[in-house]
Amino acid sequence: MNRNGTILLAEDDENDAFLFRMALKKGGIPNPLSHVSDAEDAIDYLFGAGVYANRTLHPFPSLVITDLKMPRRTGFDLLAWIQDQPQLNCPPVVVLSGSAEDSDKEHALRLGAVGYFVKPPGLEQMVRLAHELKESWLAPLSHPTCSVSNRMQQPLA
Amino acid sequence: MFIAISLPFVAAGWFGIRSTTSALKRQTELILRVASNGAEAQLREFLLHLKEETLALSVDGKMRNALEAGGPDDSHNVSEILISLRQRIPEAREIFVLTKEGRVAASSEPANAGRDRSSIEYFVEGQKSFFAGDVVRRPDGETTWVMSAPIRNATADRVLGVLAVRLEPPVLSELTIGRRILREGADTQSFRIGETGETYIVNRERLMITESRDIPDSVLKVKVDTLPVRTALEKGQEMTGDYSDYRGILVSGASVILREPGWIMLTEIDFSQAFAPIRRLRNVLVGLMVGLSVGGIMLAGTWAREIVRPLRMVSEADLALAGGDEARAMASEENLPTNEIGEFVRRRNDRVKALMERQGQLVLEQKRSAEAAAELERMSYSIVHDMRAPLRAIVTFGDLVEAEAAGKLSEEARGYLARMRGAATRMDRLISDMLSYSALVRGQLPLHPVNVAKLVDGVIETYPSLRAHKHEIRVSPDLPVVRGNEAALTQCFSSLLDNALKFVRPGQSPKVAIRAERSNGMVKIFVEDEGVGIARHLQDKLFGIFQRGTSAQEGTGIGLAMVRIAAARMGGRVGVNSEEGQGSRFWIELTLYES
Repeated sequence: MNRNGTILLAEDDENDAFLFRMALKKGGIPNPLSHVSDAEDAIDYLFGAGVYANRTLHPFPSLVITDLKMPRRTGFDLLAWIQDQPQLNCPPVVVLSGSAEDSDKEHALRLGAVGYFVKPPGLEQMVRLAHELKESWLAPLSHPTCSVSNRMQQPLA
Repeated sequence: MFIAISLPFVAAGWFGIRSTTSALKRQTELILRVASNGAEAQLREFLLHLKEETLALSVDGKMRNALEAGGPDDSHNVSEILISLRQRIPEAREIFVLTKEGRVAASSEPANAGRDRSSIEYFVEGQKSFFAGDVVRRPDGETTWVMSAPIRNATADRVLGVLAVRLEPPVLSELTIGRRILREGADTQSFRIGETGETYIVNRERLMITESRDIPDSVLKVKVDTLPVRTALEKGQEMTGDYSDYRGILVSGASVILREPGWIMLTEIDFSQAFAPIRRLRNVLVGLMVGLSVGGIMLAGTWAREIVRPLRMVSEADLALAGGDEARAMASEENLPTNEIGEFVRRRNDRVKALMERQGQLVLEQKRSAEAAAELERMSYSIVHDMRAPLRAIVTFGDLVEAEAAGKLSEEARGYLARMRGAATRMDRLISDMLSYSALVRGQLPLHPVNVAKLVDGVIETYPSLRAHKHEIRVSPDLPVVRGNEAALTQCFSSLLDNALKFVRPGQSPKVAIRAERSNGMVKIFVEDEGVGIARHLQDKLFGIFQRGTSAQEGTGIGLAMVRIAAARMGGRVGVNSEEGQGSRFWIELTLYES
């Protein structure tokens, strides 16, 4: 399977998706970014179903970053689905949500998320976050194992 | 309970009957004894009279002379004498004289003259001395009773013959049943006792020799083998007491032994009559007791059915209700009496039913409103989070404009951009604080030992706005370990320090000190500054939400409100001492942790 360090971002807010792409660019992170606007599409993407059948255009990701609140199927649904698909060889999933609720964080971690980040206000903070994501989960282009990291960043209130 | 109540009555009744019985028994015995004595006296007097008369006749000179003269020719003379002598003993049926050979020499009944009586007891014994014979039945069926005495010559050295006085038993019966009027004119009724009382005489053969009240023609026909008769014959003793009489009926009686003829006189009264009063009393008492018992039992039954049972069911139902067991909270209305108690139970049930229905509605409403509130909360959280997305966009795109197009903008336009980003940032903080405040108010706040010194150091290091003033904050080395929640305390101290650093006097650098004062298991931690201070009228409002001491400084107006809520939820308090222009001293009081 071709893994070129692609990041799959599931995010329904176009602004946030744009800013994340901008943050990767500003931060000089070269990994390709595939963006889907909800969990349903993310599942299709991971499954290589429908429009995502072409793995050259839509390579299997090395890291999945998902929002929680999305139309159709939520980030929790995505996490639960991935947990049920051991044959996918387990790309790590990091949550990037607007919610700072402890209950959301705990729920996401229970469903197998390896990290939980609250969307920061401001470009600078977003760039810093992108760097941290890369260092934690993308440093070697292909993530060797599925070890769960509990490294969390709790942004300041 | 009823038995316990009636027991004293039963005891009293029993005791009353018993004491009355024994009193009556004594009374009866006394009466018997008196009657018996009276009858005995009369009988003895009569017997003595007979004896005296017999003895007197036996020494009558004319008769002796006639006998001494001997010769059959004289018998007529003697008979004449006997007829005349008979006047002296009116009770006698016949007076006759026997010769030494036992022949009737003469008789007041001349037809009997010449008969041989030599083998009969009264002749044999009568030759020796006075003899009182028993009442016997002669072979011809007649009952007879003979007294005899020897007739001696003038010098009393030779027995000339025997004088015999024959009597008949009715004489005795007249005496015992009172028909006889004694010569002395004594009241013969005196020894008749009541309706069933009688006096009778029994001879040595244990046969009745007087008439019975109950059995006609009883003389020498009724066997009287009763206790007093046996006692008299076998032990020679008289007695008074209760026993079965010749009819087999229980009587109270007294016996008297008459030694001369060897008779026993019995005075008796039927026990049933003697004790009739006591029986009546007993009947009345027993009736009373039975009545009381039946009444009591009925009353107790009624009581149990109409009062105790309903009340007990209400009590059980109340217990069930108190225990939350609604299925058993209604008292059974089965067999409820139609009195006030029944009405009470029914009303109580109605009331409970109404209350339970109301409670059920309330619980349902509460559940619905809790669900609605939870849904609303969930929604508002969702909305609040969504509100942050546009703000993030404003701030971040503002950053992008700043970064990429700043050179193309005028100074003025850059100012506008900064204001726009500032306002959006402030709103984001407002929302963030709002969420924190809300979490603090509704969330769980478990209490643990927290080292305040460590916590304050951590807060200063973590928060960039505080870290910048690290050297202006003096932390006392003796900060305590308290019982609190670490996250809440973090928020408290960040707010208090933020606050203390914020309100500096113009042109001065801030100076903040943190120290602690312990007393009575509590500790007050002070955060003091030398800033602008707070006007007294504002101090009370300071800890309310959205209250800001001044509009000159940036802030959301939530920080101190959160401190107040957090302190309260950890069992503590907050406060401030301040003079305008003299700096402020905020404090938070918490429970000391005793390890």
